[in-house]
Amino acid sequence: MSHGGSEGLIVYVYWYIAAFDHWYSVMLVFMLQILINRELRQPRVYWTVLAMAVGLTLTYMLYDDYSDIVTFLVNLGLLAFVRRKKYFIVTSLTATLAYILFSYFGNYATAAMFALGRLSINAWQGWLFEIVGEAIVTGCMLAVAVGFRLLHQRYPQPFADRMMLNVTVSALAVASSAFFAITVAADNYNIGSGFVGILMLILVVILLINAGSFIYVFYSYTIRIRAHRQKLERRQYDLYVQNLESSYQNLRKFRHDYQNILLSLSEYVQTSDDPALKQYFDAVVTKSQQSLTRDFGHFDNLERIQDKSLKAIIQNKFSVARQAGIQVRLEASEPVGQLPIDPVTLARVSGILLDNAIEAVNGLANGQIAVAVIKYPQMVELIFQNTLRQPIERLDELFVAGKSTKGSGHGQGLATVRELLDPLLNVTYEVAANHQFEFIISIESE
Amino acid sequence: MLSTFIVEDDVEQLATLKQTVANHIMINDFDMELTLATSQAQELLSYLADHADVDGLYFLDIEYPGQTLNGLTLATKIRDMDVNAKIVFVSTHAEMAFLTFERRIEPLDFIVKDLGPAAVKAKVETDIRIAYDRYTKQGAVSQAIFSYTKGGQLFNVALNDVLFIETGTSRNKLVLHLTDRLVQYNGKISDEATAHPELFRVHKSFLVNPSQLARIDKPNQRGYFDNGEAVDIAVRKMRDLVALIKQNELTVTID
Repeated sequence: MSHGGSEGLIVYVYWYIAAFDHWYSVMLVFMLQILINRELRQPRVYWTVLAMAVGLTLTYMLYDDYSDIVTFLVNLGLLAFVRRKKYFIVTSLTATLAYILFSYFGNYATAAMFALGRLSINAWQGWLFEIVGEAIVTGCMLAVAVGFRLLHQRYPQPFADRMMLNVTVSALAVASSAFFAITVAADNYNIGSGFVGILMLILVVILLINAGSFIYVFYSYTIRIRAHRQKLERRQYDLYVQNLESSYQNLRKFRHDYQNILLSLSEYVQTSDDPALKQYFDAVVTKSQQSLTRDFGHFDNLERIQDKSLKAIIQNKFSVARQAGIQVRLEASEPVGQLPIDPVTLARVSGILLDNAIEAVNGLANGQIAVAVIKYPQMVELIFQNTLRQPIERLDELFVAGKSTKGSGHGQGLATVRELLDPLLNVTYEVAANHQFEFIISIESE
Repeated sequence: MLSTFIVEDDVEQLATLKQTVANHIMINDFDMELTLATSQAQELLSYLADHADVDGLYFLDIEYPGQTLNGLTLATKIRDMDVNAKIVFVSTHAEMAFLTFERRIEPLDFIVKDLGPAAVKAKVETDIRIAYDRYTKQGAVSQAIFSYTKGGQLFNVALNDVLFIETGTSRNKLVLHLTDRLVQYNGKISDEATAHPELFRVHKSFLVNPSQLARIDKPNQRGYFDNGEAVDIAVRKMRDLVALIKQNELTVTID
């Protein structure tokens, strides 16, 4: 490949050194690609690469101009072997550009070292120059490979995102065209390699700034849009829930009033002497009583729970339970705010307890699940209760992992609940299982 | 004398309740009276504030529209002033918070109005009899109580239900094993041993209620309870424990 060394240092004194140099350069470009593109790791690619490298080396021995471009173009033949074409172009361009950049600086560094050591070029020192130079370039290429891998691991999204790949491809294409243009110009119009080096450096800096700012703008924009949309959806949902809750409150109030009116009316009817009226009234009351206790598809008192984590898990699990035909009840006599416990822990623990309850009650006639949120001056207690098939004798064994009491469905998970709650200084629990299974979590204010 | 109180915001229902209670007391000739029947919750509290040492049976509705108090706050305040208060909640099913009341108030009963006037009347009468029965026995056998605190709140259980206390898996937490309940709470086992002389420290991790022990396995140094739970017994505590059992004539099998 065209090493820019013409300032008094003529490296290619011997043809075999030149041949090795060409071959090694081409192989470096391929190596870097194989390192950063997993898809290239297949035997047929290795054979093709070997053939390409030999072919390219032979060509360069005869005609050295435009070698970088030729390498890149030949290299594109590997497209046949890969499925992710765009990603291949990115890795291929990265490899070529990295090679061009570092071969310049590797060459410079070696030349500078030789100049400092005042070494002249003979057969032996030609090899030394070659080896030192290529070692530096190889080191730089390996650093690029590591950097690329790290980038890929840390930010996998842009590499998978079609939009981002397009942007990267076009940015790299611009960069490489500029590079090729500069090198061709330098080769053909006798421009000093120092000047070319500075040009390249400037180009690289400009490109990096451009790419960086583009990526920043693009990402901050998409993130902002997403956040905005989420906020909007959240607000709409909250509003919807609020509306639902208030209309439900009205319904509940009406139900309460109506029920009380019926009750006092019944006092009058019972004291009257009209048997027909009594009979008719009883029939009407029983019927309306049934419709009053019907499920309205809402969970009473849910609006009093302001802890989002708890509210979400109750809503979710209660819906599941209700769909399974299980009766659910939520008690919250007073509004309860954010609980002094890690929301994820709370969600996990409540989830396990409610899942267990659903499992235990499922298929049971008149099965019921109840949750109570009780507020004390310095504490909030959560009670999870469900109907039990049969009493559980050994409560202490419930907490041993893998020792599930058959049929009760409470063995699984309680070991996890214990593991999660035990380390928390302000949290304790109680469990009882005679008529009902009952798990109480006491969360003291810190 | 056992005083009876009724708080019900619906005038008709209040009148019916009043009549049921008064009739039942009169028919059975109990040492009871219907002290106050009101639609204003505050009125009951004022009465209690003015009269010390009231032994009461309270029939309370749960929601009083337009009043600052509700059934739960009212019952909590009653408990503060009348420790042995026998509280019965009379309300519609939708208003009942069974778990909450059970945990906070330990009421005598819940009466669900939806069941109809006849059922309500029957339950009110049963509750009067139960309350009166408890009231008459109250002085004779005062039941020993074990209490624990959580978040500044005192919880009481019968001492007879206590099997043993165990040091928990994490620091400063104890596990109280009751006949039908496991309770984790904050405390130190040495403090509990001093506070409850009726319990016996059989091991550095176990504080046992000797009267609940079913069997002692001397060679293996284990103590067993009726439900199969077991504790370790330290060698140097074994002799004292056996002596204690013999001295109190407890029915514990010793192997």
